[in-house]
Amino acid sequence: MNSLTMLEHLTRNARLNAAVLLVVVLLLAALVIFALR
Amino acid sequence: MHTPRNSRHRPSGPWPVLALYVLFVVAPLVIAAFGAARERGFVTELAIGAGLVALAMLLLQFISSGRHERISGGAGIDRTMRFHQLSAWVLFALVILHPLLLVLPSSLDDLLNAPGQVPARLAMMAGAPFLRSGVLALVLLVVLVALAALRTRISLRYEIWRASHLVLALVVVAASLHHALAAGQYSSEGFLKAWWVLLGIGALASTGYAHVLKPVLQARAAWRVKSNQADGEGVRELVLESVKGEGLKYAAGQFIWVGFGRLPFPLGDHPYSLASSPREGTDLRLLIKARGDFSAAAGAIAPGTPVYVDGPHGDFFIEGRDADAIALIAGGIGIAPVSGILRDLAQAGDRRPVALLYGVRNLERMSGRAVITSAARALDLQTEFVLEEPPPDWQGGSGAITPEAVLRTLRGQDPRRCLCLLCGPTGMMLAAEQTLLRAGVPAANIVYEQFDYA
Repeated sequence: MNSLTMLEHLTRNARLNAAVLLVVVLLLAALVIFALR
Repeated sequence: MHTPRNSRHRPSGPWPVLALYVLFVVAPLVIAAFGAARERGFVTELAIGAGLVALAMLLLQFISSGRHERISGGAGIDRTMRFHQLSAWVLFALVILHPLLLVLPSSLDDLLNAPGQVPARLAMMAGAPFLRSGVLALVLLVVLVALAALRTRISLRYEIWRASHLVLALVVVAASLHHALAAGQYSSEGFLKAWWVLLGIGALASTGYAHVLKPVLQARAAWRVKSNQADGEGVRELVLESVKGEGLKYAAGQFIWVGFGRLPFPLGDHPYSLASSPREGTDLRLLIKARGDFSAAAGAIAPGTPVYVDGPHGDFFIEGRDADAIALIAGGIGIAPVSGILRDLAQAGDRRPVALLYGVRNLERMSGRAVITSAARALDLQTEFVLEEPPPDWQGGSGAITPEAVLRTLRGQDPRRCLCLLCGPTGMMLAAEQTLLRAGVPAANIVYEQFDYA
């Protein structure tokens, strides 16, 4: 990784962060559905 | 007109790739859910699911790090690299959760009555022979992530870090695959096993392409250093010429990965912005600041040195973007791609109002002065220089770049019709971006380039 802090990552590119957040939410939802099935 | 290969303005954008990513990561869960009956509790299934998702993400890391223009085209290689970094944290969290959830007592009562159970179970898992490959993968992944996150803080040489990153990643993935196939109950069955083999082959192919095939192809279209001279204090201007005179199809402002001297091996290469215009001929110009492991030695690169070029990359360019006025904001060595764009606009005889705001430490460190002077003759160019350490008789701005100076780059034009290109330190770009957004410049018209994502 590089010298940028996580905070900078999170504030730097709103669209990218939103995309990653969306991926994480989808994955967590899939995980819960998997475990609950 | 040179059309860049990787324009961000492809109709598809990054969403199809992202959807495909989610599909590939969730696929093992779906295969496992349909492939075998569920026999364990919620927490255990969650732990197993976390392991499955983490393994899929780990394998896909090899694809996102491979600089594949076709895959990351819609998003841009820089965003793909950042996605690689951010998803690494997510997969790391899942990997840590995987064993922790497995040793968690099944109820709160158990946890309260026998708190010693958790470390005891963990110790048992760590020592179990059939889990050895999993433990190895976990430990090495911790090392890999720590090295990546702390690389600059512990001043690890870039080349050494990158080599270690690749080797560690390959061992981690091999151990993880072994762990899944040997210890996993879902993964040892038909379809999921085939899925892992498929993803494993994909990851290996991506790595082989990036580290073996691509360098060999690059070696064929070789470049060499034509000249190497100072352009401002601590900055070298390197001109590269194509050995076969074939040139490179790029847009002014894009960047390339460059390897000097030795046999082509992308572990040794670095990203640099092009400070030239494709309209001026086939020579490529780089401005290299004497900073970091390699950059410091840039002064010693002799003319005639062979150069391997991978690119062009990035979406820091004007082509394909509709605007009535252009604002260029550069900080420090961020002037490199900006001077390439200035050259390009001047060569094209662009009639639109252009503004350049350039912040730099002091007059001695200022690069691209000749370019700016000649661009000012050819263009409707407004320039403003801000020096952190101005000389006593300095007439321009001093200190940091102010919001007022940023607003002046819009030259009184309709902010919605201005295209703003920013290149410099993160803090500077972040502040300028906020000012421009507040002034009414649409986010899509603010383009920035960052060096620090190698």
